[in-house]
Amino acid sequence: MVEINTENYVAEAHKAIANPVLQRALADVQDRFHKATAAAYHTLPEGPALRFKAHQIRMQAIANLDILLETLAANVRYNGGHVFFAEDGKTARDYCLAVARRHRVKLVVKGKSMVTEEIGLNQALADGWIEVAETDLGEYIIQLAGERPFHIIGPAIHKTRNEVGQLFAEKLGIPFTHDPPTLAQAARKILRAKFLQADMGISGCNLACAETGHITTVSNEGNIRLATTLPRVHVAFMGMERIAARLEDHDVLLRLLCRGATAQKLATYISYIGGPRASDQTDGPDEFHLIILDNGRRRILADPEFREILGCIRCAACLNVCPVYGQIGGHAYGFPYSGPVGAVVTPLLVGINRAQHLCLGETLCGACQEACPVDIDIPRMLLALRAKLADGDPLWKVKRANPMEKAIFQIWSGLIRNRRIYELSLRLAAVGQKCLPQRNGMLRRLPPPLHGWTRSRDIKPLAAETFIQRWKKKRRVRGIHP
Amino acid sequence: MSEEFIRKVRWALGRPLHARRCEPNLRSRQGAGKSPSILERIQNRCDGERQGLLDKFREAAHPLGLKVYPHRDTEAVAAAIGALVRTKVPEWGQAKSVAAWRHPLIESLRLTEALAAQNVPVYFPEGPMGAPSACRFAKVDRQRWRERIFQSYIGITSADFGLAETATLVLRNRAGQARSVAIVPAIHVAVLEVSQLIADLQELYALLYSEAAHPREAVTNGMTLITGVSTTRDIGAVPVRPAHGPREVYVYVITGPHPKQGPS
Ligand code: SF4
Repeated sequence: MVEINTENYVAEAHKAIANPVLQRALADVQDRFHKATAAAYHTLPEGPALRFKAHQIRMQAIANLDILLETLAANVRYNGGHVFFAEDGKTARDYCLAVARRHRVKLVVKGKSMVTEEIGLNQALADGWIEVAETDLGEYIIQLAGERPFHIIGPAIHKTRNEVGQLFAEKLGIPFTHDPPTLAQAARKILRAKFLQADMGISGCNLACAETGHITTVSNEGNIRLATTLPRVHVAFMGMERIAARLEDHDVLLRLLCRGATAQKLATYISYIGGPRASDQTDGPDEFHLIILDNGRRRILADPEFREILGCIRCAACLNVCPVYGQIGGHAYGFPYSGPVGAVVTPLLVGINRAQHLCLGETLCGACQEACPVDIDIPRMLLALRAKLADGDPLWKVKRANPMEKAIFQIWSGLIRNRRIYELSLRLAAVGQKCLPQRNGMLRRLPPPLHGWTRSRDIKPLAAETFIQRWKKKRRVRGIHP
Repeated sequence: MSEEFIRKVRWALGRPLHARRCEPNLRSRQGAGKSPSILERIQNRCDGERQGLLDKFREAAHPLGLKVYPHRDTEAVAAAIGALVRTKVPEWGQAKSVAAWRHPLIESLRLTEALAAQNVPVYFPEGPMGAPSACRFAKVDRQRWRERIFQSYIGITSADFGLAETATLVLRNRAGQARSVAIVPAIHVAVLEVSQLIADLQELYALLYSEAAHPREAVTNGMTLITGVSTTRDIGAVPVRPAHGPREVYVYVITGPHPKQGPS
């Protein structure tokens, strides 16, 4: 099982903010990608408006998901692959383990895949006495460090080269260096041996295509190609929503994905995989298994309010522009999906109450939607989640997050609708505030339960006269009568 | 199991579970009408336009660290490969060996002879070409191939197409065209003719569909797009080449003896 730490959001966020090294790394990533991604959309022959078309393509695919998944499965099977539909993480893990056992697998080489993080696959394999080598360099680093991904596409961006150097010296027994090429070469050498030995390769799937019956993997390092070419068995995991109908749709989405993720026109390696090695082919796996995972996605699909988030292609562009992610980083989100997309997806997958801080923590500034290659309206869905938290929702089993808040607003609503009581309380407050500490004409501290407001700022006191009183007075002075 | 899964997805979509579903007409929207004109455009390209694509390919390749060299004919390419083998040293171990595709263009380079003088063996995937039923690979053959490919420091392939817009090589899995040749050796050399250059993904997809009897045969069991050299930014965000793939990629484009200038 994957660990869910969404409850620690606030504490972890504070920790990240207090860590200057992390702050520098975050600023650097956001600085680099923010402008580059926006510029990359402008290099599209169709112009940045292609994002809107991509949105349509995604939504159409989601609306026809049943047909597309059926077509994909039939076509993969036609090409000799196996397709397994997994209801939840456990079924998917068990299936993968069973395949591994059948082939007496001892070593697995793995490409980066967020879905496998979501279901905690590595732990399950380790519990089954199977060694797992993450081969994406970033994933390899965090696997050595025993951490979870900090960023959807750059899992180790929070580690400085010194930290990586120390980690490699400690875990791999190589002399300390902070020179990235030397460190990368050390990992290249070690992982090359693993690629040669491994009996099973595991990958994710960036985007499947129903009509042709293939999955696509995208990488810059080449690790996924090695992991899906050399071992005897290839198991690919895909979230059930990651599918396009035709190659034409694929074209648009892939180009946008690469731009959104790393501001490249195309990533270095894009592999289209539709089945195992044919009998006359020298290399490639003998068996190809595609695991299509639900794990809570169906519930999202059934709710028109949140269905849109299934259009996400996990490019991480929204992380790179988010002012909140830019301060607190990925670990605070307590689940593999971080940033704005995590703030919507995680509550929907693990429970809205359980992950309430994630959607409450975002600022609703809208930068994520502008950066998103498929124009997903994340702010709208954040608001919808908050509304559920405010009022509760039996459908999603959401309990009112703060009954006190509701009561206060109800009192407030009664108060402002009754002129006499409203004025009376204003007068009382105007008298009462005189007992509060003041400086330079500002109130320094409010009493509980309002004290949070003045924790880091002062507030203006209530004016001696209300607006209406002043208005009346002015008109009287000018001799105008109501 | 899968039917149950699909049934639940259908329920989530709010569709009647037992209503007759029409077969998805996936081809019907935008793309379908456009393909013939794309194909015509590709077929009617004159030499001048092809040269334009080559220029574009080279321009796009430059920032990616991809080295593109036009050559007049296969002899010139064979000579270039000979020079490469002479000057480059293996990344792992001492002995030099080369792996190559069994492919008409690559075989016309006569690499075994070209490299014999340097005493460098050239390994081809075993089995006769073009007769799939005759060449089912035994486990031992495949094991031997694995060892050879790991020994080889240069891998020589052709490519199905080159995409000019992004300097992308398109390689499809076929008998004799082992995919490991383009990813395991430290240096990848791709040889293609200028006529194999096309503009972009859109043209590629149109061609794939036009060649296939059924859409599911368009990609078959595998195709790889290679755009540049294996790269990582995972250590301190510093770009490093290579990560796991080839450290150098050379593209030799055979332009033919007299590239004519077509009408602009
Ligand atoms: S929501 Fe949009 S920007 Fe964020 S990861 Fe998904 S596709 Fe990318």
